[in-house]
Amino acid sequence: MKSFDFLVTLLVEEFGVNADELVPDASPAGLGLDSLSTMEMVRELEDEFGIKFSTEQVNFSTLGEAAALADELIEAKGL
Amino acid sequence: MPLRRTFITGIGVVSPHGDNLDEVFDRVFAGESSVRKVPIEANGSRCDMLLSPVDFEPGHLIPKMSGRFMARATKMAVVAAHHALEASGLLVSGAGPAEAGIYLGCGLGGSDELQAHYERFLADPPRRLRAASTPMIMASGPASHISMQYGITGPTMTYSIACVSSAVAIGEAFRAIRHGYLDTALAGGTEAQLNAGALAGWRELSVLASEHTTGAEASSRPFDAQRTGLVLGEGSIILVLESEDAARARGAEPLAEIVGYGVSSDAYNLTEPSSDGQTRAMRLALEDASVAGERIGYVNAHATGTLLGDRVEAEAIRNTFGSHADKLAVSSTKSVHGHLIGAASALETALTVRMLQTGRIAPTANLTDPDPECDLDCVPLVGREAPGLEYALTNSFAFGGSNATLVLRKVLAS
Repeated sequence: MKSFDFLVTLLVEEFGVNADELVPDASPAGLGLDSLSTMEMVRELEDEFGIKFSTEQVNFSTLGEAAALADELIEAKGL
Repeated sequence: MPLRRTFITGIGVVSPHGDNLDEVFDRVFAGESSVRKVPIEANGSRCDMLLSPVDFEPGHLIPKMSGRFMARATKMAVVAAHHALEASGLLVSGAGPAEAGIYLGCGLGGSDELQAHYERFLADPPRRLRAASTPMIMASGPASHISMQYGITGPTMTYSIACVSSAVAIGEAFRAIRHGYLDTALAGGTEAQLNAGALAGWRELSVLASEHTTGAEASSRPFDAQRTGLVLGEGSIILVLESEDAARARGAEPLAEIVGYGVSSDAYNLTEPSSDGQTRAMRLALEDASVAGERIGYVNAHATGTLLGDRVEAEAIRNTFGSHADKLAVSSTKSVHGHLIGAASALETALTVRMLQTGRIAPTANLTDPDPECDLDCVPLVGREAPGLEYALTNSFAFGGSNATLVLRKVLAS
């Protein structure tokens, strides 16, 4: 869940998203993030944890899904 | 279709002297300089540079989400557009007139983001790059963001022609309205290149002023024998232009009329000006306005404070106006606000509008030792009352030999 917590802080502080809207089922588009914003969000996530999403993995549909993918990549990196 | 009259019905400024045009003009009229020493850091070292920066904070006018993808020049333009639309009465529930056009000048686009991008890319080891860098850097970014933020769907044009960028933007918008292509346009310029990389380039050109013995604020000295060069500034200034019918239909109060526009190229040299090309731009503008040179009372000179530039423009003014040059008031307001490059002409047009409205001509500040080679009435040091002022010219000349002149007319009581 550390990826999700990071995303919440990032989206509130850097993207101006209302904290109340940041639930795992929220979609990027539903939060007002277009494709460029979503890409920037992923880059921030990658930079924070030293991971890399593949092209397919960037096509997540919810924040919870993105965070789960990131947590998996972080765990795999630790092995 | 007969030519349509074009009026300026709103002005928004984000300038070194502030964002309230009345106050900006009062300070410029009083000869109050915005030039100061600004610390610039790069490569682990620091130096003070003479600049005319904007104390800029967009606040609530730019949402965090979209602001994240705006370079400084874009943010300034979006805020200036807000002020212009609000002043004109065309901002309704946060939106502008949907069918308007946007005509902006910008010299170096998102140069702050360009520098940041290269710093990240060239770092050892390279740092993470931003997905948004390219659309943030593009010179057309400011016009695009204005279109998106205010729901304006007409043509979105960007002119990047160095120091004449915003004169051409205003002139082309004027033509589009005059010839019936548009009823309303936002026109002006934006520039924000006071970052280390861009400034280093300017310094190597050897055109920047050094600090005057009486202080930093006195270092921009157009037409003065003690001049040492230009002072760079930044900002964004946007005008709302409307056809006479459109302005009249909604009861808008016009601030001034644009009556002529002339543009020319020197075909001569990359950095040296030519009086022939400048003369042609002024003559074309007067011809376009169908106004005799003798009716012009004031010229807002391009004069930046370089020896060659000031002298060539003085010669071009003499060539254009003949003996009437002795009766003209000519001033360079760059003496107090510096050179805003892609936004310079727009700021000087806005100030000239205020001069026509108030009948007060702003001076050339710091003109204590006039250059005898610039033998014109350059309104030294003190502003002047000119209640009969009806027509004025603003000159803009650029590296690359591009020249543009606008002719403005006071709105007379009907």
